[in-house]
Amino acid sequence: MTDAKKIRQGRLFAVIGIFIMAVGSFMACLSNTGSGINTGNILLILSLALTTYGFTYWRP
Amino acid sequence: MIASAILMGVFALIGIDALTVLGYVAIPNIIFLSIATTMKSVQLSGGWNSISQYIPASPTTLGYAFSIVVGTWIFSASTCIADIMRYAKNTREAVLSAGCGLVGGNSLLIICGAITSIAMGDSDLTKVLLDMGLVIPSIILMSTNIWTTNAANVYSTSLNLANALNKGKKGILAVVLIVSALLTLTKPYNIGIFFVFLNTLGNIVPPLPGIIFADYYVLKHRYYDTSKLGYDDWNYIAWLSWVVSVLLVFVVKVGFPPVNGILFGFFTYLLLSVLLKRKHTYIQSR
Repeated sequence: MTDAKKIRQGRLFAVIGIFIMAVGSFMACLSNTGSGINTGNILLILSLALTTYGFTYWRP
Repeated sequence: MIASAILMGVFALIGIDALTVLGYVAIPNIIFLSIATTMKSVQLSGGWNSISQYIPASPTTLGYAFSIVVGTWIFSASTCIADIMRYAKNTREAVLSAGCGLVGGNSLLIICGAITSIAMGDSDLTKVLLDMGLVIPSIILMSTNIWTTNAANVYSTSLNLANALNKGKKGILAVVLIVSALLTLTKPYNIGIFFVFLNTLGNIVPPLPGIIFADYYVLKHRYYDTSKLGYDDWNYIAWLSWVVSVLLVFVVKVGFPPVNGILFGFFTYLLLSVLLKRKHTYIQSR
């Protein structure tokens, strides 16, 4: 994969990761059901992985 | 705790690239989770009325509160801003990003923590989050929060000591990591000990910028001849001024200790420089 493609992919992963991070944070903290909290936690952990990968290749 | 100190130090060892990625990942996380946990705590406490009507059991003085806040700024790596901002593209971006981070970001997080503590009646934020059932968010929030602060502090400390002592950065970093790991045995997670630490920081560090202001703006007229700088001729007047200023901060109980510290550092250094008339603190006449 070329550098430009890696940067584009990194940007995509970072942006999606931030969005999922926001959704996951508020779900995990504010949800009143167990499934909502667990979903939020999973999204949080997933977002950490996505943003770490994304920002490794792309810097705003 | 020792293992976590060493793990955080690895990021400082890798350098500014690792700190950058860490910052990009951790900061949005911290902001989202701080706001979300604040909303949850207000929800659990019965609304904003309980927050606005809060009366502390044992009030403190405004001066003490000032010292604590300045201590959090010092602790949260404001003193190493220059080490990070040297990578900024220009002065404007350096000032803007430092200002947004310290004033905007730091204040937001402190306010969120304060509201959560007031709502839940406990100043130990980790315990509060766990009591609310937010285990995963608590682990992520606390880890990222402390990780970014510690990594930046270790990076800056090792960089400054390496320059001051004219030694290799990696060797100094190893020593700093060992000392940091041992200091974790003093139970910094104990909130009482932590507040003592912050208050101490807020009293002993402020004289340093006062001394630097006096030296740079008054004695050297905003010019340092870098070709003459060296590490074999330490300015003992600056050290003496710092010690005297710190003593004055603890003795003088009027006003705000951090502001007093800056002023004492500034004037003490000028006074001692004039009185002792050292060659490397000459005053240029115009």
